[in-house]
Amino acid sequence: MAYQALYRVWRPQTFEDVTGQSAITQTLKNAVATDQVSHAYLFTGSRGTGKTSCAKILAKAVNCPQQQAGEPCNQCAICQAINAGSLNDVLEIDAASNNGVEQIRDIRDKVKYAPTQAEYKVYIIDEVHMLSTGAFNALLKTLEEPPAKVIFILATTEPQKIPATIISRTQRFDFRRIPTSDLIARMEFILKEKELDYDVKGVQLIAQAAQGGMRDALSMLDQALALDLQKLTLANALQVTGALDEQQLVAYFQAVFIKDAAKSLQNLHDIMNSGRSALRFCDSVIEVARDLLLTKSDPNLIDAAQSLVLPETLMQLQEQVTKQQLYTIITQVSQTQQDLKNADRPLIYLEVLTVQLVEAMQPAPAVEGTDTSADLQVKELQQKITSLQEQVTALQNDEVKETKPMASTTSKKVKPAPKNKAVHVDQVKINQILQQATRKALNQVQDCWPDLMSMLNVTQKAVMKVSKPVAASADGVIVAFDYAVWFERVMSNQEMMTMLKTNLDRLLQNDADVILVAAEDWPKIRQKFLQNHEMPIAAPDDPQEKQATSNLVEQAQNLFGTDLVEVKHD
Amino acid sequence: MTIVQEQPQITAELAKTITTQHVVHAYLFTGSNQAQVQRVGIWFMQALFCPHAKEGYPCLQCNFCQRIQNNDFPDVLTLATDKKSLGVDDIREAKRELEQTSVEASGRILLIKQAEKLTTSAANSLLKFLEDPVGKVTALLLTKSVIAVLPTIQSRVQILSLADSVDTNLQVDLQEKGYSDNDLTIIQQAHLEDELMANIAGDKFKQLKQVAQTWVQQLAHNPWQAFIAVSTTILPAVENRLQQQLLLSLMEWYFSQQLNQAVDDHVKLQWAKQITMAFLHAKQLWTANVSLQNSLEQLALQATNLSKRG
Repeated sequence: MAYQALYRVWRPQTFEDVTGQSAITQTLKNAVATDQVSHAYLFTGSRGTGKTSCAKILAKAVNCPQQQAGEPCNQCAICQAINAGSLNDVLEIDAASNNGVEQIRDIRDKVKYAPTQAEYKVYIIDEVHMLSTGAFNALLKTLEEPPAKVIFILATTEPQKIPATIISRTQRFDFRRIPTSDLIARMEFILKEKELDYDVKGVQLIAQAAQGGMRDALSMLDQALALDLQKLTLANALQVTGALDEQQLVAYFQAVFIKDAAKSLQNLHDIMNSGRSALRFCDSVIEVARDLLLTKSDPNLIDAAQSLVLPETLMQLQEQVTKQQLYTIITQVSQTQQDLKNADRPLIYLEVLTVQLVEAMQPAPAVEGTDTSADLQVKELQQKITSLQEQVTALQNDEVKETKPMASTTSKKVKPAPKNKAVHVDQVKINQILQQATRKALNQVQDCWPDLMSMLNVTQKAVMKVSKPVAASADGVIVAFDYAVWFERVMSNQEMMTMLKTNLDRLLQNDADVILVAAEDWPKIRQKFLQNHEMPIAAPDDPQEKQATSNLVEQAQNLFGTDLVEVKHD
Repeated sequence: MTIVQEQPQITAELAKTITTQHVVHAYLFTGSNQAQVQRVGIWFMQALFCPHAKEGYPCLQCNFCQRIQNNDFPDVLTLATDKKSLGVDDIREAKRELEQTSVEASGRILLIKQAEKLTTSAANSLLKFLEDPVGKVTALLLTKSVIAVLPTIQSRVQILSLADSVDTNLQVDLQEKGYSDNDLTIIQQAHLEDELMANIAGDKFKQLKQVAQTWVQQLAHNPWQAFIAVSTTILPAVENRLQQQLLLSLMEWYFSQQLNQAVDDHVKLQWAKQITMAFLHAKQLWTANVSLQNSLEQLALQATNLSKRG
């Protein structure tokens, strides 16, 4: 077990060694060289991009007595002690296992003591996203104003989990994914140092599969080298990365593009039987789709994106697909990738995916017009529309039948006419009431209307809310409803009618009937009454009367002032 | 049949890393058959510690090998759980114990079975340990699906996947329990080995298979009947969650068959695809603790909708 993994052996020891992050390393170097080191840093970025390595180098650089232009010497006692992890003043804390408030309090207590050997006390808090909320908040004050000569370096892969209050107290550095070319260069450098032979394509393949993580790349390199100690071969690289054979991939895509479901499923089974991981399969499909998309947009883009050059046979396939179809492919594959996370057996998901992809290749429904789902929907909708149209005409016919007798003859035949009947009955009574109607009576009714309302229960109140008394005499009250529907409903509700009458009578202390009308009918009814009776009614009188009273009121107000005069309508 | 015969490639690779002293500090073994993955894990530990190993292959006879086989070796720390997840406390305790030096062998081994059960915080607290273990410790993670393991863990370990192969031990075992050859073929093709680790008798398996098959067919021809069948035939047939798991896996297998058989008929394929997607959703619901009855009944209702449209 003396062997150490490549990524541990080749962990960069100086800023110069860190690949692919020149902007960050330069900034840190300058900060150290000009003695402008901040007290808190936050390193974020995806896995294997050099966060922890940079943190360790920074810890060395600030403490190294012989640092040159911001680089640690790696020779002196302090550098060596930090490399061995034995220096008391550089503390590497695993926040994932020490994520409670207790542990942070411990740090806070010890931070007060000055460094013993080195110049700075450096706390490297790795995987800081796992701290609990309490722990984060406990750290805030210390992080804002730590004692002199203390540096905090927080490192995490998931910056979105860090509270904003922490981020604002630190200098944040985002480590980007390492470009494939840099990964290749580094691996070639290591292979040359180890004096090993290698296949350039194999190195490329590993770099591609590592997706910008140096540690991933070196892990895979390690594994491939374990298979053959002398040489890195393409075959071994293929096996380790689980990448798909080009031919298999081409066959699969061809089958999908010619919409042959049976053949694509067969190809899928072949691929999976050769021991490829479902995830890699999805990755490869997305990569190919992306490359096809790029070539379709602009052939020059492909080189800029540094992808592996697709085999010619695949390139020719681009004629067979539209951009839209490629988009669909990519969306569906990435959706499946999500689902795969919870899957015990990935195969069935991939089978469904394959059928979906074949379907995505179907031309637009207008062309073939058979059974695509959109087509089905259109058919269905058309059917619905025709059936609805039929219904509408049927209804119209019915209505004509119904309305005819009503309009032409008032025969007894079809009578949907509680309305007609009611109005008819009412007319006599209304006339009676209107003959004796007075403003006074109406005012009285209006005054006690709210009391009447409060006697009703909730549903009744809701119904009566759209009504108001419009005329009243000693033996009757006319109530108008805003909506005819409610009017009819109350009319047919005997219980409610009696309730209204008894309650109103109790309030007014007389024997008034309650007559209901619809508000839209009310003007007509009144007009009819006026024409029939040709008598001066209260309404035209009112203005005169009012004028007279208002003169009196004005005089009184002039005499006594507005506050003391109470206007009472009689 | 020994594990070396069943998995010649992976064992040869591992033996080679031992002889050439290229053993790294962390491995992840993955494969569809959990029992087999565990046997590879045990074999690798024996290979690492066996004093009589020849070219990386353990003797399997000596005291060390026997005790590792029986999970009775002080320098092997095994983390496994019957519960749904492995928590951060288990990891903390393990790390504390691994700080002590080995008792008998040249180093220590941490074996984590079913690594997909690690909770997020547990997995995170393993990270630092996996990157730079203190002392001579080898970590061995076993899982059925690499995707379920945190990506930051994946990048710290060497991942070795087992090739599909016939698990003869299991087959012999099952034959004794009264499984027919026909059943064994299905088990092998559908990768049901994991579900069967929990002693299910041959008759029970046959019954569940029958139930699953008829229900899947019913779903296609008469969804309303299938809806009723959930409570009349399915629920009485399954007794516990393990059997439910087996039943769903069998159904998955039949749905997959259905999909593969429908490839030539466009309309049928469309239907098979939609019903399979609905089934996968139902299975996800079941995994997320929705009861079997509810998930299947919902599936049946969806099937009625689908057939209405079709």
